[in-house]
Amino acid sequence: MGEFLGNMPMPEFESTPWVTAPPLRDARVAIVSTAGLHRRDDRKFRGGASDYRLIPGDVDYADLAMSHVSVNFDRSGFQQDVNLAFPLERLHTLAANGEIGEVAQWHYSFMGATAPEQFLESGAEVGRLLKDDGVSAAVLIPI
Amino acid sequence: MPFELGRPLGAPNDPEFQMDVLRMTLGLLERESGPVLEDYPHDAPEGGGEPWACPVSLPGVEADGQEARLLREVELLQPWYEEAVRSRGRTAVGLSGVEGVDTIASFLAGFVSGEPGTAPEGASEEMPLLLRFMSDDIKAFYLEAATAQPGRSATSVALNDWLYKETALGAVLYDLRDRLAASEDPREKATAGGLIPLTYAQRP
Repeated sequence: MGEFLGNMPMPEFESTPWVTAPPLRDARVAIVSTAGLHRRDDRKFRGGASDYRLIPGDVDYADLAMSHVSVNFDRSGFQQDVNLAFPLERLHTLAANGEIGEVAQWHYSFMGATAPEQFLESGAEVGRLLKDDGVSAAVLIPI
Repeated sequence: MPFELGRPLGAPNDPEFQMDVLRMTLGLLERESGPVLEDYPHDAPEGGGEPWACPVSLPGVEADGQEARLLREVELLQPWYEEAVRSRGRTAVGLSGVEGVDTIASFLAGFVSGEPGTAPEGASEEMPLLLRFMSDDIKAFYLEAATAQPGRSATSVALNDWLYKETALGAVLYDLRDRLAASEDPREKATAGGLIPLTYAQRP
């Protein structure tokens, strides 16, 4: 898999601007997942979906579903422990320890089986929403 | 991260390892220049305890027909599924909206034997998309039941080998895939690709 990913064509960028993050102890941290997660009463993901689902920071794990279209990844780990793919409890522990500043109010999930260029619009929108929420660091968690 | 797909923080039920992955990931933000690209230095722990085995003995292929065998499997796994829900406080079952995994089992077995695919009561989707969510539900039921026994650590390979190669459900899923793949309806053909992982595409 590593070799496959290493040989994938990657986009070329004209510049690589570097942004210095705030100290972690002051950072407000959000999760952005591509696991096709959503609340049970929210819309399930369909093939080709490039939109996202909003997950509140106080979501009950019992209310979290996964409707990713791909069957080519392990789901048994997530079924045993949600933190394996959506580590909200772990972030809260880091915040309680003072290792990060706080946990964001909102988190986001896409479904990663869609072609990356299809996410340009929704990805930019989530970026704006993260900024509105005062988020200074996002953990991008692929599945 | 040197972890298998679907396990981005390495290992389930291992908070310390997950915290270490998060700490190292977040720590990259404190670098003063970039780009930053680093490999996580540890493999996921394999877990301790006894080697995994299905907590119940499932009926052999000589049982009375595929649907009966499938329903017997569901019946035998039901207590372990309930234990999984009790101990974890949640379940991944429920995407299809169909009440009762035995209802899903009967529907799938009937569909592959040629019965008309009229969606059961409560279904959250139309056919054929419903078939994908029903198969997700019944697979989740099996896997949650199979991992409910305390003190046993299961790799995904062991679980998938069991599910696709040893159970009546696996046989039904292969039949379902083949029926949908042979359909002239493009929606059914598309649904066929969302049932069985590529690494198990070859029927055992």
